[in-house]
Amino acid sequence: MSRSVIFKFRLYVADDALNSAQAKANLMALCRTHLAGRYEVDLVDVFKEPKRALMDGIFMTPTLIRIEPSPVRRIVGTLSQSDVVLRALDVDSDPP
Amino acid sequence: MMKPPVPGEMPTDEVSALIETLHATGLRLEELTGGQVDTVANREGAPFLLRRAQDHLRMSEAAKQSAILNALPAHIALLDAQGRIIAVNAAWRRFSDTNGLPGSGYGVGLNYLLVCDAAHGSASDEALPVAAGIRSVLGGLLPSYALEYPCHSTTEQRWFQMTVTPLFEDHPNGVVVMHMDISARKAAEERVVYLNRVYATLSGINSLIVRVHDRGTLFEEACRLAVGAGGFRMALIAIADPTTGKVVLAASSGVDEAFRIALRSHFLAMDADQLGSTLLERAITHKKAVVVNDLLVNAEVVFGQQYADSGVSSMAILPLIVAGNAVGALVLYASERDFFRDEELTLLTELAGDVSFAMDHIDKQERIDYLAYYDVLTGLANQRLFLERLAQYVRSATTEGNRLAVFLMDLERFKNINDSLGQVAGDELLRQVAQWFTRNAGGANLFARLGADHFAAVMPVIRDDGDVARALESKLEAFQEHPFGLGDSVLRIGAKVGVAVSPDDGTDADTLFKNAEAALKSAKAHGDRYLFFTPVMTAAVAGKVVLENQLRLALERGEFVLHYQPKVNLSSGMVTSAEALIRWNDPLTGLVPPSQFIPVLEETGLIHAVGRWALRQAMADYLRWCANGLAVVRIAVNVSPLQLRNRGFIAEVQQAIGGDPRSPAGLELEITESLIMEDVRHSISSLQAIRAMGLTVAIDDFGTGFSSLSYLAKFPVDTLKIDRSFVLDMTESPQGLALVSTIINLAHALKLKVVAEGVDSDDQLRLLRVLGCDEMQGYLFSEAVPSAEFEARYLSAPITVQPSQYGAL
Repeated sequence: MSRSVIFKFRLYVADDALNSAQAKANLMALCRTHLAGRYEVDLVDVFKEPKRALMDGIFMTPTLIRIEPSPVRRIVGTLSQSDVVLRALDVDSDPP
Repeated sequence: MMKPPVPGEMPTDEVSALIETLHATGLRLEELTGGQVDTVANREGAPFLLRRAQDHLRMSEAAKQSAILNALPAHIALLDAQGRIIAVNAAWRRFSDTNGLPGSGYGVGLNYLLVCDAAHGSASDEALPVAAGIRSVLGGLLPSYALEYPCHSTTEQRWFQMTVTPLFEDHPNGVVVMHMDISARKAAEERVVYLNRVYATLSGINSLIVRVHDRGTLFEEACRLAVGAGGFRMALIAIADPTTGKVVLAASSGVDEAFRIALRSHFLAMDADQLGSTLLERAITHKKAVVVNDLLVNAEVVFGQQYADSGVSSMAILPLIVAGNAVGALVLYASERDFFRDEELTLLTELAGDVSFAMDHIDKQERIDYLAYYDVLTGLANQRLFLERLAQYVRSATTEGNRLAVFLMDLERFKNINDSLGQVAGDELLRQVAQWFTRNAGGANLFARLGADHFAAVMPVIRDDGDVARALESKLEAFQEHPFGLGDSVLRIGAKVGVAVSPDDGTDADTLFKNAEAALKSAKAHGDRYLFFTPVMTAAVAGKVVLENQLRLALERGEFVLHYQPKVNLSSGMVTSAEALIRWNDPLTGLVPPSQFIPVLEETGLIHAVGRWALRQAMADYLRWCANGLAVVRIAVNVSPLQLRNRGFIAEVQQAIGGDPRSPAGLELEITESLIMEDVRHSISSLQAIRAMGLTVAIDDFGTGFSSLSYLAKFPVDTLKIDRSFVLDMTESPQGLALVSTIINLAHALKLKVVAEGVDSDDQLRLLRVLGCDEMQGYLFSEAVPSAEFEARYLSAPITVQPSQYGAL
């Protein structure tokens, strides 16, 4: 994957419920480590924007959607198993 | 138990199927998601929380914060508005548990304020201000409150900082109390303070090396510095005697007598051949510093009890090493435990090195110094040392506002003696002269031999010039009469002296020395026995000495006389009383006015005798007038400040009036205003005693002192005499007139008689009558006249005075 590709994520969370908070922290750590300078994260709280979640077809939190690069991928959970997550997102696991 | 979490892609249809299932059993969903999911959407797509997430969110903000608080090392408690503990953190709980606080009195539910209020003994030192601080914050009086306090245990120096902050800033219905362990910070601060103390000692000792020229002073000063500047509790220097090997206490500071005695006998008991058993011996034999930072619990320490009594907790023994040999040790004691650490010790080793260096320096210099500073023949100081000492005397005279005198002296005919009797005899004479000086005219420190027959002396404190002259006269006399024995012959020898007095003749040693030398030169040139550098001073001083002798004789020979100046009642024109004024009828120069000799009488103390005489004389005149059947008037006698201050004065007055019952009615004492004010309490009781005898009292020179009106009302006096300067101003300006008017009204309000002094013009007289002044005294009516004349003119009845004699009256 080219270095110049920008990763766009949207993370659906339930306020700061435990799993949501963990997913958020794990995502930020992952981005900083592996995608430094080439990621965007859009955070959606399903309690504040339930319609948006519904429209996006999100039924559980935390859910992460990789919007770009296509194809769109989704992962449910705390994102704590980073190897699995990296693979699912097609992010190089080698340190940059 | 449950499937591992399955992050990854989830096709929508699978999820919807899952939701159907999970809506039936929420718990099952959690199991299936491995606990990694917080919400699921319901049929309408609205998310709802799973139970676990609900539990999590239910944790209140406070609960989260309490978790944070629990993680903090500070002891924290929340108090309600009444001071009850409503929550504590883990550190608080641990602290109260481990410290076994009374009745676990720091637990939730207890009223912390009441616990503080109930504290007693040393605990109340902090508890009471803490309670007050909490109440202030609760009451909204203080935005917050903080206090640092010690909480030492037997093994540890602990410090805490307590802070009190309101729960809500705008309506303080509770507070957060936090105790933070600041021991580390305090310890760091202490280290800085300790180091500074050591630095202060070090720099003081550095300057000693330059200043001090003998071991004794060096040791004493070093110990004094360590205690004074360094803040050490005690300091001592022990020196091993090079011949006996015995250790002796050379100097100490802050050491009490009992401990000093104990130390001495301890040193005495030490075996010179077997140094090594005690810590001190170990420091000396190994030439290495020994530190004990826990004196009170250390078993090796010899004087545990004394240390406890003296309040010392740490000790450092620093060997003094001169030319490679440990010659003794400097021992420093600190009241703090654990005072001497590496940094301090490095500096202190340097300090001991400085003392050692100074000792070495002194040893080498001692012999050279002696030659450099002393006259070998007489043992007196030489010029160099004299000037150094003089500079020191000048400094202290300046700081203490004293004056000092420098004398330079030459012996008369010394060259002749040397030539005719030989140099050996001459040297012997110089030695004897030096001895005479130090034995008869102050200590050896005050004298110096500058060369040949040239000597110098200093009088470090002089009261007045008369002092110097008197001392000089009597010493020169005694010196001249002293028989010096040289072999078989006895000879007497005189001296010429030049005097310089600070600060008039110089404010530094060199100038004073030079000017005294110049004075000596002119004394020799003019054949005077002594001369002051300032010629006026010589004249004045000489004049004063002569005058003093003359006044003494005058008293013996009855040359003093009393003259009387009448006081006249302004409305009746009658002479109502007389002021007795002393005159000296000098057979050589005639009448001498009091201004020329009263100051000398006061300076020499002759005033007491002369004052007694005046009282007796006035009384005698009065009784003579009575005996002659005259219409007598009261005589006012002036009392000098020195007389009234003399505690025997009342008795003297009593004696003067004791002979005749008519006496008290004939005597008034005039006392200057400033004198009364000097010692108000004593004055009031003296005046009361005087009036109790039937005498009256007048305040002289009223307006020139600093009377406060409140005192004036309390003073038991009868008459107020307006000073002549006010009478003079009265006709010069409206202000002057207003002042006299005020004084008269004031006196009348206090029921005092008013006498105007120094009235010498008709204008003044007119004004005084308008203002209602009672009596007047002055040239306009009459000057002071001899007793016989007064008797003839004013006492030969009738007393009414012809108007022509005082103009407009």
